[in-house]
Amino acid sequence: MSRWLLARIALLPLLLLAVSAGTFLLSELVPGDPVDFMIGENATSERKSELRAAYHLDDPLGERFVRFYAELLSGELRSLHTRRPVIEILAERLPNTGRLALAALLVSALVAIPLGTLAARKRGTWIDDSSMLVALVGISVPSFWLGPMLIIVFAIGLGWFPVSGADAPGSIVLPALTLGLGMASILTRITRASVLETLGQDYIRAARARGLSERTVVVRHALRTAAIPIVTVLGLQLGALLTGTVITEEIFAWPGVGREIVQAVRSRDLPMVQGSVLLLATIWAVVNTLTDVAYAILDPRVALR
Amino acid sequence: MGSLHIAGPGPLAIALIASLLLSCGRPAPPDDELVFLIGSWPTNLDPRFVPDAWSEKIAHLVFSPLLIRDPRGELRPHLAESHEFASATEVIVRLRDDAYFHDRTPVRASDVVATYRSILDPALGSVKRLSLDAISDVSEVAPRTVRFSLHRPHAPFLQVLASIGIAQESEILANGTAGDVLWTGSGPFLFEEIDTGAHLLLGRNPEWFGGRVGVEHVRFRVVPDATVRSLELLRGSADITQNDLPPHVLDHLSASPDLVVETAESTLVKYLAFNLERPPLDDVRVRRAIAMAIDREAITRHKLRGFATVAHSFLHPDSWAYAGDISVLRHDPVGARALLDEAGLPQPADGSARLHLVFRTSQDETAIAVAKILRRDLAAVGIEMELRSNEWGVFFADIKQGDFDLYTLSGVGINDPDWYSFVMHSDSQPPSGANRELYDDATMDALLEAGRSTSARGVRATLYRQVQHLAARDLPLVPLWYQHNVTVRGADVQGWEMTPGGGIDALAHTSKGAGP
Repeated sequence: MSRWLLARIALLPLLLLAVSAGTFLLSELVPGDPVDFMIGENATSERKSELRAAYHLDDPLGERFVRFYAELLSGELRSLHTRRPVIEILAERLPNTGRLALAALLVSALVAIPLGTLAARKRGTWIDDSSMLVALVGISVPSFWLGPMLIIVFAIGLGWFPVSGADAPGSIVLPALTLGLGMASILTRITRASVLETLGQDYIRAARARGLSERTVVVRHALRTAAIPIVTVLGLQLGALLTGTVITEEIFAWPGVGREIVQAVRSRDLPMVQGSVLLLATIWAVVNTLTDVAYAILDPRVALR
Repeated sequence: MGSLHIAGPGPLAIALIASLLLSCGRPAPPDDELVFLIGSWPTNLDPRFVPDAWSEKIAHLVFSPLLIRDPRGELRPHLAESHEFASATEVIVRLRDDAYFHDRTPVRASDVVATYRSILDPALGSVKRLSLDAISDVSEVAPRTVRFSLHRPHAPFLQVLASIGIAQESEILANGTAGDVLWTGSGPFLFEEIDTGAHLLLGRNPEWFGGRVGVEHVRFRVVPDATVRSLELLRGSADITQNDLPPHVLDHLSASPDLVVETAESTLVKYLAFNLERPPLDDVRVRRAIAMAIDREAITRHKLRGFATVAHSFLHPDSWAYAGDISVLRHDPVGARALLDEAGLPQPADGSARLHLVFRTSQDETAIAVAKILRRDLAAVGIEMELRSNEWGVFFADIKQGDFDLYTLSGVGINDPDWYSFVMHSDSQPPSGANRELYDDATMDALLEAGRSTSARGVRATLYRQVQHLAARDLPLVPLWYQHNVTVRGADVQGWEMTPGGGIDALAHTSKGAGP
């Protein structure tokens, strides 16, 4: 396992190099001059040229590419607009995104695993049908609708939670529910399918034959085996949550990485976009590697080679 | 097969959850704190940078500029006690003697000189430098007197003095050109807490030269979504927002007894631009026909819910340079069709369009909704309008390159009539300005240059009235409407006053409840 893990880790720099090169080239192709966003049109062409020269925007592509890596590695990659190091800005935002992602994942797991297990246990009954209907509705409701609805009911109507922001007590609840409930829908179906498959196994029948209680059979034996696909999906969901909570962050004014990237793209803050995408790619790669490691821990039959 | 038993929550758990929920909701802000909602984070509050509108507005509360705009939009002394044109190229500014920085050191001429020189230093890389193009030198004449020398006569120069907040010389020297944020100003508020991307807390400056500040704290909270901003106001967890909500939401908020929706005229003008390089838009009759086809009264009344007034000039009727006798274009589809016929664009017998035009706009929902109405209005006179809506960066890059027949944009902060130079002087064609319609008229250029070169207001007024008449005759752009400034505030917020430019300087005198 350690050799496998080392190989995966050794591949990371290559992956990130490819991602950063792709991001750099793609952001160069996007229409829109960063200088226009910085100084507007009320500027002479001389002033614009001056600013472009100051930020090396007119240098040959190859030179800029080398400079990008030099600045990135020295921590001197700076936002065009704020002139602050990109790493410093992202370091401020990432904990917020991480907090929200973990809370959403918790919501997703707390809803989906019991619901999916129950649906599997009550297969073919109204409980199963209802669970799957709930999952279908959950997956069909977009977060840009669910978020405001949760605000109207729980923040305006009942006054239980803040409308938006990240600084008041309980402010994480509604954005976590918005993200978590959508993800729970997929996880519920995965859990149901996986538990159903496991419940048909011989060792489950043997466990029942030994007189173990149904709760012990399901929770201790069936769920442990069924957990592999569940963990896979949870891992993917965590990656998606860490990198793709843009809409929810916008709705709930949650100061995370997603909002920062959207703002950077809108204002053509190229170093900010490039640095952010690289960070997100790193997160994805690390989360995926950790998910693979979790397989082996959960199920010794899965050998990491 | 036994059943799977899931234990229900006991009374203790329910009580715990209930008490947790009751403690969660964001409480209403205290009386000594005003919560101001904004849609985007101010990117750089250093007064030498302030690259966006919110950065500039908020920085002005901390770093007082030499001049300020009153509620009528007129410039008046602020950190300056007086200012005068000593000659056509020399402005003398005297500082007031009761102005102190937040650390109790007096504001001196050397601070003003250091601020302006820092911005003029190319090494700083400040985008503000372009607005100081007219300055050849800034120097200290006496401890409280500053001289601005200009390269050439430049009447709009005083606008510059109202746009740059003064920082402390010692802090500027200590920070060099690193572009790090400066913190010490002399305004009504001082920085207390910054949580990047989330909120910014300003505290009262007890020694402010402008008098007692209305509230102890102003908290700017960033809420990007307009619907959520309106919900925050309805909930009472925020006190005020300005120009950040769409018209249909404003209607809804007006119905709340706890909120006040206030409007005031503004200097923001929505306009329609033609590409004069693309026939038949090079024919003024076609441009006039298009302008006459648009029912601006109906759009402002219904789509914009009365939060706009039809415009006939880029200058507001309250401006000292407004031409009251300017020709007015009214909605006249019959006249528009006749003009198109006259221009050689008859309606085809098969009922197809006589003209196909590409209209460019951003993805702003109100802009798209208005564009759809324009499409309907133009269809009524036989013009087929293809609507292309793009993300702002793409839209802006395309119209700069001339990839459009028509587009609409807003002219922001039209405080001085020299703004016409920006959109109609032939030297302002891209990449050096916003004359994207590529209008080129020698008379217009001469009038604009003359207007900029004299500081005599009477002379300037005469020149700019001619400019407005010429613009109305040639119609390279059609001013559509003045977008009102709109504030939504709690009913207990007092002392708030709007300015035509949408500034927030009035926060210094705004309070809640019974007042200070």
